[in-house]
Amino acid sequence: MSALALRNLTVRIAGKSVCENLDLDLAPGRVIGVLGGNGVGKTTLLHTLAGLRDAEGGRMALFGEAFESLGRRGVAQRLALLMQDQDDPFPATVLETCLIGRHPHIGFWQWESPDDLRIARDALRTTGMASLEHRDVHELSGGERRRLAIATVLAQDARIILLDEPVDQLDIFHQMKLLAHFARLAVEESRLVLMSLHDVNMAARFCDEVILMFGDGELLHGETYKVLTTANLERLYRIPVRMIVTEDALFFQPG
Amino acid sequence: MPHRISLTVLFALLLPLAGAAMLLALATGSVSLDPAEVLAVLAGDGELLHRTLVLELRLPRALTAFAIGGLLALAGALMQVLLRNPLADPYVLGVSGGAAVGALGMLMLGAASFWVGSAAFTGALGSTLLVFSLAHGRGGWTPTRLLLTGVVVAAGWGALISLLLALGPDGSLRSMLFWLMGDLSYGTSPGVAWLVLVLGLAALLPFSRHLNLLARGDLQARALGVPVQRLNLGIYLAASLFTAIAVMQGGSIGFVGLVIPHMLRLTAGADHRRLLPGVVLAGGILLVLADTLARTLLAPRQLPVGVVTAFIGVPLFLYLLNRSRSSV
Repeated sequence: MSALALRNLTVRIAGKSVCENLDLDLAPGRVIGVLGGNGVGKTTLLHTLAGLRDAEGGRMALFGEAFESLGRRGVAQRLALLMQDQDDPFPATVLETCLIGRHPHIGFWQWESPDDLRIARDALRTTGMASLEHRDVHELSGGERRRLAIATVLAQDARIILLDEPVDQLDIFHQMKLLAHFARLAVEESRLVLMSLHDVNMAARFCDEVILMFGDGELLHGETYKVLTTANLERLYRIPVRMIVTEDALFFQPG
Repeated sequence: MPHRISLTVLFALLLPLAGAAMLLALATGSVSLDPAEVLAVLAGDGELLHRTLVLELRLPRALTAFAIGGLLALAGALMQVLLRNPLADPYVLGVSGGAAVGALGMLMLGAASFWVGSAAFTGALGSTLLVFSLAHGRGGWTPTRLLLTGVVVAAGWGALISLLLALGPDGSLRSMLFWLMGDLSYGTSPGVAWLVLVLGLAALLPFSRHLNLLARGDLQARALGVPVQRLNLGIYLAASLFTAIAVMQGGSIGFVGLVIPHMLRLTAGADHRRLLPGVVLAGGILLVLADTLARTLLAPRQLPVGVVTAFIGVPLFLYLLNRSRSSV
């Protein structure tokens, strides 16, 4: 059964088409990259899939259950979204912030259990934030705040994980570490990871499938090695692209 | 590393403080009593004069002050979450402006205090509905849109208030000014305020974890399964009702609703499960103390309590602002 099934999905924003009558079945256990230039609607698409905005038309299902039948809380138990930026108007510690990821799993009358605390601490450890758990979020650097947001998504423990430019603000060490972690979550725990990326080489390295968004409502979806071609990328980014093939990897470079 | 005190410690500090503040309010005034005499009266003994002073004059007023302080602090905490703005207070969306126009109109006519209070309440709720429907407009309302609408409506009320003051007969000017600065001398029936405070807090507490998420933005809260629109509406109506009840009884008393939530966030953290009960107690304590000062500083003259809360609130707030700038 597909983790995320889209039927006839049409999404538009400000009169611009993001996708038209899209049929898409995304299987659990896969890492899927969403590539496209600025303003083609990557974020809009992810927000629609997370139910944060309504589609113009079409239906969505998570693990065979119609999206509308799940309710907001039901969706949040199955699907986590990492947003592009975070807003912290009030003081809060790193641990408190990570714990909000547990919200969909905590009953109305309950407080966070020791289990919730353990899951949140595990997520902080994975993102290299464990030593900062008592720090105020306002004292974090941009990259640390981003890793905390990723930890919050990990604490949500959802089978479907949507990530909006997860690693763009991170140093190369944390980029590699966290993308590898998400790939492992997909393979070992058969979750679906769908992420928008700007780094084609990271997509080539970590994604099983990619979706190219051309900005006119047309999407190209397929296995990474089939879709990532110089011709497709030149069309996607409107610059000449060179492909470098080594024994175990593909690299793309602006030509 | 921010130091946060636990829920238990917070209440172990605030509850005795609340008791002490109440005791002080009951003991001080034209005739000073010592704590033993106050306790004797509360236990059902004591001299007749003491009984009259404490039970009929000071207790209702202190109870009113406590409830109003709690209501304003609670409304302030809610408004700050609703608008995602730490500088919001219960009056920022024009609730007090609407109330003031109603109350001043009645004071101009020389109406009895019941009508002043009723007109304040009606004006407050009218302003709430006005801001809500204007901010809603076409499409949903965002915190920014709500804030802008509220501030503009409040400015409109401000102009009307100036007009009323300019046209008001000399005889009622003094009471109008006192009302505007906040004045608890009408506060003799704390029952309604306490009822709203207790029921309101009890109804909000189960949602306080939702408030924690809402404080991080509508989208983040929705992504984590919070029914944001219903919650926003509920917060808005609750905060408006609390504010309306408070201004109905005490005029527009400033600074409690702004400063108390900040003090609690800095000491106990921003978790609303601690914050909401904490601000109720701290707001109550502040206003009881401020009102006691207002009654006694220049006795037999009474100061408007809003002036005293401002004297305490302004330096405190500047200190907090200064402190928070150094940490951001």
